[in-house]
Amino acid sequence: MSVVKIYKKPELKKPTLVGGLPGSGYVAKLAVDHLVKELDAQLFGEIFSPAFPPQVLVKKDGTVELMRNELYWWRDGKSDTSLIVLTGNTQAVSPEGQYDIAEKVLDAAESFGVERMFTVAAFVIGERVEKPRVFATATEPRLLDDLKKHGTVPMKEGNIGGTNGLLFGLAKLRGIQGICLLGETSGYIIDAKSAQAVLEVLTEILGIRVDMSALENRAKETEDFLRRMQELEHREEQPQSKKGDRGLFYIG
Amino acid sequence: MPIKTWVREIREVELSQPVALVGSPGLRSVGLIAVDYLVKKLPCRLFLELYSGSFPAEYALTPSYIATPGFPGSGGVALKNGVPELPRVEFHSWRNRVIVIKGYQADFEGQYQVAETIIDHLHRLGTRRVVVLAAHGRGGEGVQCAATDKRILEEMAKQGIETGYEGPFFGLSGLILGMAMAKGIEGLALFGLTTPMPEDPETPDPATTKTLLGKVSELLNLSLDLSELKPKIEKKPTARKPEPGFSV
Repeated sequence: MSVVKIYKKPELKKPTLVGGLPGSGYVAKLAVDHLVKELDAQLFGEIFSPAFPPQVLVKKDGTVELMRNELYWWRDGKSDTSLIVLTGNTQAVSPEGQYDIAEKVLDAAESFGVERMFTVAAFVIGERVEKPRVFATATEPRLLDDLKKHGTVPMKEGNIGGTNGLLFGLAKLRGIQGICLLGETSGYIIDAKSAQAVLEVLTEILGIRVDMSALENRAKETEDFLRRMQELEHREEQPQSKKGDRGLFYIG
Repeated sequence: MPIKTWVREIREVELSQPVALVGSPGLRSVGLIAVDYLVKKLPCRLFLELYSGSFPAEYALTPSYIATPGFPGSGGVALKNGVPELPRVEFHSWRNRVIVIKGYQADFEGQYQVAETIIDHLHRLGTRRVVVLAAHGRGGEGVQCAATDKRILEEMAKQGIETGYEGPFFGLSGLILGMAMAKGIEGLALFGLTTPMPEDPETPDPATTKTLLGKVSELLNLSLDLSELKPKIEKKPTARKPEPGFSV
């Protein structure tokens, strides 16, 4: 069904898998994309699937790209730490596709000797979050105590949907140690602040340093936008916007 | 159960590095009307048909170009002058240099397979460029473009066609562009700028189609007579929810 194309097989010693595909608030994707960019991780594989949305993306420069998931690698020059990072511009839409991709990513990860993995996800609360908490859950209950030391809140019940959740669940079946970090978010905005909160915990656990300024700036832009929106809402005496229905922007 | 997609060859064709023009049911039916008109007016001859078990005769959800898992619609045939016709993709040729493809939207399970099969056949036929005819609804008038590489965009800019849309390009036409890129065929999308009609997104917009076809004619030197493009066109019922006259 889905096809994993490995362009180059990097030499990595028991790397850690980090996965974060787009989901609520783009928390996972923002966090993992930021990690890839700041570490200058290298693309080594791509995944294509008929379970991805049947569409292409037209980019800002007018060129197009297929829907895809990407695999990157990174190795620390000073320690044994190495990473395989899963990101992408989409998730599989159907459950069959989500299982298929999660299994294939884990197959690829195991071929590199991965014994530990993290997935990043969003914890949606449906209302504005001032200071996002990071929730954590793990394939082994004993790991939760360690995770508390990094300031996380144990998530003991609930569902983690999509490929991000399945990666974590299927890792458990394979005996791979798995930790899922979930950034608290309203679910209504693209939430860089939540992504930053998750990434701070993740990098602390991994023992790597990453410059957060790009995420901070993006979070600030969102905050400014929300503030402006709030101000507009408060001006009840103002007439309604005549800019038309922005929900009409689509293509076919 | 695996999806079956197959082709039926109607006649042999001899083509010399053709350009393929593709239009599918989509926003304001611009792509579809464009290829219908090209087939009639050039005129083209049908040479290949593509069928698929994932082509609904009746869509569970509309518009037809936004396929959703779990909503396959229903198979069936449409009657034309009392004769049954299966839903299909049609490959037509004009002289030895143009292929016109009239697309059909598959359900979620089949969209990628259909797009890939179409591109495989275009590859076999030596196609040098795929030009997808579609529309976007971000307002304005005229024609804008997107492409599989920047060189094509530069070429279009010299012809006065700029980029302007950023975001998803849904359905078969978008996927054909993506599959062309994946298989090493040049791909260009020409978007007529239209006004969306959310209550029925596939409501035909012949005026935008005319503008778009004018550019296509100019770019490919087709000398297309656009005077017969009707100002008002009724939408065909295949891309709609059940309505009176649709029997199951």
